[in-house]
Amino acid sequence: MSKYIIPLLLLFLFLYAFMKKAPVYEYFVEGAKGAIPLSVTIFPYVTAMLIVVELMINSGIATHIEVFLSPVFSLFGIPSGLFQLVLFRPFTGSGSFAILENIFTTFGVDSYEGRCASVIAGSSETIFYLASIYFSSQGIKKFGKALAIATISTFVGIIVACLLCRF
Amino acid sequence: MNILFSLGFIATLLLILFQSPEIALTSIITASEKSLQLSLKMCVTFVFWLGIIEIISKTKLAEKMQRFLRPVITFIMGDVDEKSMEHISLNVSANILGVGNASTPAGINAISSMNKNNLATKPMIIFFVMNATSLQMIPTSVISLRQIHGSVAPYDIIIPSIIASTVATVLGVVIARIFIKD
Repeated sequence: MSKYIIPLLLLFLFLYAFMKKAPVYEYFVEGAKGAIPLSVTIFPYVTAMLIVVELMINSGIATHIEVFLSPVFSLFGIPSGLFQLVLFRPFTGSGSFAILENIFTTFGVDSYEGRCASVIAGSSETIFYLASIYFSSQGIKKFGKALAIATISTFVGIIVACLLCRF
Repeated sequence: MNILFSLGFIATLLLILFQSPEIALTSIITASEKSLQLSLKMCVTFVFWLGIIEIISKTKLAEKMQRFLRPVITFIMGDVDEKSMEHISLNVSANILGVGNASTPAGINAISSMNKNNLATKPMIIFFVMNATSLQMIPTSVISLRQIHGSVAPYDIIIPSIIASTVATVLGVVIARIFIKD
């Protein structure tokens, strides 16, 4: 189903523009020009974040944080095998998908852990990555509250996800 | 961000110092390379989608979408000017339809259009929270990953995912509306 969405939407757009006799070629090129400046703007912000993430993964700090946070996780019914996913999901999309695959091979894709992990990955976003490109790269400061709200809400969403997978 | 960045460096570097000091530099280089690759990938999707977004704006299609979605968005985020509303409408529609690549440039446009004095305002925070708690309805990439790993029921996660992300989004918007001052 979803594979039809993009071609259909684009077809509709170009038909609409064609009927309005809009100079689509000029418009397209005009908009596309913005891509390189935009990528250059966000590059340093993405780099700063990915360096910290890489250092976190390679230093094994996750296992140290896990010691402190695992009681909290079990209190809320989040399986301990999902710790890495929950920790890294807010920072990196590709990184958390690698962790998701790991969970699939360790616990099995249709196991409780496998299903929980799928729902968590499917219902959450890369909060810190988004904050760095939406706020930092646009020169906006003091967005700590926005980060806190997004993190708390996502955590509640994760608790709900783990609860739903019990049925 | 400054605190997180410093803490991230200090804590991980201390650990690395006592384990294997040589991985500090390799980690930093690897991460920077990953970042360059990611930015290139983003650039590729930006080129196409920014072009398409320009067509949507210039043909006044964005204006129509904006008029259609305005009541809902104003109800959630509060009052926003028309140009920002166009970008927000595009971002929200792209998210819901699962065209994630198009939602990011539209989202950046929305924030930069709402930005007046480099301070995160209430509508900006609500907009960010909506994006950061996932508006995407069908988690297509997770489903295909489940298929690759031989799941007998790859689609079973759709409904729990929709419920979990809806709970997170609604909760986030409500908290922001209550605790963030205008």
